[in-house]
Amino acid sequence: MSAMDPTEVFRQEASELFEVLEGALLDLGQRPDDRELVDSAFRALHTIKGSGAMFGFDKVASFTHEFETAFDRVRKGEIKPTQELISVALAAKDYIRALIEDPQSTDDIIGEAILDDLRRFVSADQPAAPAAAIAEAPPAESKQAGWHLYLEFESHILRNGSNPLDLLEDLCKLGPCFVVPVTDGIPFLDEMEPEDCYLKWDVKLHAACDKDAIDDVFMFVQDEMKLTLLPLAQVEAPAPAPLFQLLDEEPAPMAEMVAPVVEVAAAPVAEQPVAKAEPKSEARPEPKAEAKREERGIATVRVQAERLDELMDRVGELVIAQARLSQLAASGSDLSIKMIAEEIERLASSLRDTTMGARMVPIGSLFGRFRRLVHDLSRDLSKPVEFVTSGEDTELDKTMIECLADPLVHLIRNAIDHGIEDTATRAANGKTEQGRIELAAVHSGAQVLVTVKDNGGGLNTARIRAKAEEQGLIAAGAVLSDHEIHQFLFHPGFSTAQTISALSGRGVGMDVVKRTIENMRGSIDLSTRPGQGTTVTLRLPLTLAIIEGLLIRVGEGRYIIPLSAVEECVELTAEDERSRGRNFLNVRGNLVPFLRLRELLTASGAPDKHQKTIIISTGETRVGLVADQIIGNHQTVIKSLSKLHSDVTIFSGATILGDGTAALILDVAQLVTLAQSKVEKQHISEAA
Amino acid sequence: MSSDVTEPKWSLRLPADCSIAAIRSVYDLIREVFGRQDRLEIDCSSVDKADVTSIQLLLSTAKTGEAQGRPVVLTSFSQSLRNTLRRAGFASDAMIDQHFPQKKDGT
Repeated sequence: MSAMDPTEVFRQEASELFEVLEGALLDLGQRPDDRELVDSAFRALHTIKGSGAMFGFDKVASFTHEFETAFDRVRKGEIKPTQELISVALAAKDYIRALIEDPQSTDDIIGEAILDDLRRFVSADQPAAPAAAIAEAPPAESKQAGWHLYLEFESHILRNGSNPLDLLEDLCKLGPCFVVPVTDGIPFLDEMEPEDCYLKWDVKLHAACDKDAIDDVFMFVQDEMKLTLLPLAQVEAPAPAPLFQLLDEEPAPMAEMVAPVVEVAAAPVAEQPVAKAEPKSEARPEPKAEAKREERGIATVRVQAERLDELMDRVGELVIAQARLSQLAASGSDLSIKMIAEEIERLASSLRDTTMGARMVPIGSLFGRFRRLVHDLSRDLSKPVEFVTSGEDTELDKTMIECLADPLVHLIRNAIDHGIEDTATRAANGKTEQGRIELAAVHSGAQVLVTVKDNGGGLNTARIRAKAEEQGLIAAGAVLSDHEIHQFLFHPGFSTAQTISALSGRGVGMDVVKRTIENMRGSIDLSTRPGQGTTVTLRLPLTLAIIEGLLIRVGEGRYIIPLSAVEECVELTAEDERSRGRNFLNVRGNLVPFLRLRELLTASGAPDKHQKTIIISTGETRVGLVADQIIGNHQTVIKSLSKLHSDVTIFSGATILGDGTAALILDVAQLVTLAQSKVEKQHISEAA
Repeated sequence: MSSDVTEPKWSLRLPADCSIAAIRSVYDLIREVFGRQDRLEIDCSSVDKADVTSIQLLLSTAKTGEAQGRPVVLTSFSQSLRNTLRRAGFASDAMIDQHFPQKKDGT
């Protein structure tokens, strides 16, 4: 295994920080008074700057520094972040990302223009009142003759690129500082982790500065340290002796210091504060929070995605080998081999679940990306839109998350461009001016349902029908349900948009969305209410790598049906057989169309006497598949079909069985479509 | 075996980079040498990059030596190391002497 390139580590970390930064900036647009958001954005910026400099991304460090400087007035609370300012800040964030990911695509002139915009917005928004208020304000109560600080950092802080010595330097810029290192936490060599931080500091700051000024020095590490802060004037009790017993000499005069950034003095013992004894530690975190941070520090490990893919491949091979072993053991009479085979099966199954669990990623990581999309579209189309997400903790296989991004972009664009009405129309219809898009994810059995819901005008069924007739997709006057009419939206090249915009209207999109979702062995469904909005529901399997399947036999061939699509299995009765030509089953009073797989797959040999029907469903549609034999459950490691088979639509892949032979995996969505088209043809022929 | 700590076999010269980027290898080196000998002289004249981790490692080595009754002596602090010590609050020579057992050059 090769070690990760440090710059690649930086890129990955920066990518996560960009998400934090973007999220904070977008939230600031909604909650401009939220200080925590400003601090969060600044922490992300500061870390990008620090790490960028450390890994040699000098341009990133310098641009981010300028960004920080320009945005500093927001941090100080002197100006409020307006929507315009947020937009420029987002553009600055995009520029930094480009500097890291694709420096060739950047241009200094663009960077400078963004910074100019940022500075202009920041300086243009100079409310006179706050300045006057600052001038006239009485001295803050918190101002003291000085402060006594006790600094204790979390052990991992040095690994993050933070440098306590730089912080001490910054602290000394506030006024004369007397810094004493506390060495009692230094362990013996054998117990030491050389990259951990063990030193602590006791500092006396003789400056009449606000507590905020001190907090500012530590704002980027405040979650990773204990800062005990007491006004010097309030300190009367003697200090803990060990701290200063080490000192036996007066401090060296400043002039003698080679690097007189931090001044050190052996202050008289009588003046020492009881920093630890006082419970007034304003910045001292709660024990629970501390424990949580420690837990976070050891609870996660960054792993390259390729390694997870590799691990999954290996598990797949193991599952196949285990299936062969089980088959061999079953055919023999050796009990001990059978026991071992069962044990291996149990372990392989457990390993499969654990590995799949490691690949699961919360869908929130994907949802976060769309906030920016909605923000930008809302601005470009002048349609105020509220974007609400839920179910961010719902987990999906990482490959699914990657595949899901583009379809969701299409759906959200469509919802804003076509679904949400303009403000005038909404007002005329008695709706709020601000539209609403809800993106939600929820587990439903072995599937995840992702919904995109808008509160716009809903689908115009009449217009869709007219367009379908115009394009010759249906005969004029044909009887179709609304649901059936809405399915035309997924037809290639179908668009009811009267104008083509940069966003949509070309008829390319929904068919691609449907194909992508079906390639993921998922399904897509639409529901709409006129005047109230549209909901698009995506049903997705939890993973793409290994599935539980139902192994069936048709003639001599064996096939897999994804178990998540199977509703029930019934025997094909003589009555059903007699309905040959009509191909409908009567399942507890409901008519269900069925497909004879022997005919579909042109199976050879005589059919079994008692044919079985597997009822499958996608969304609201149910279809029966008639097979010769249902063999049973099968852990199915999915192997892709070659490009030569790309035009075979009814199979979504293949798998290797225990005896080493291959079985094809049936594409349920395609089979349902096939069944529907057969039913339609039957309707038409019967009508004729 | 001579007991003179100034003999080269007792001496370990620290590398130029003693910052966090290289501290693990410096740590391993000190442990290895210290594990083989009863005393140790660490020559700090070449240290060009130092930070909190370097200071901690020297403090720990001195503490370990003292606890085990095995003398540890530091010699020839480079300017870079001295600057880092001052930044960390070890500002006076006396304070440095207090924490880091030194053998002054020429003495």
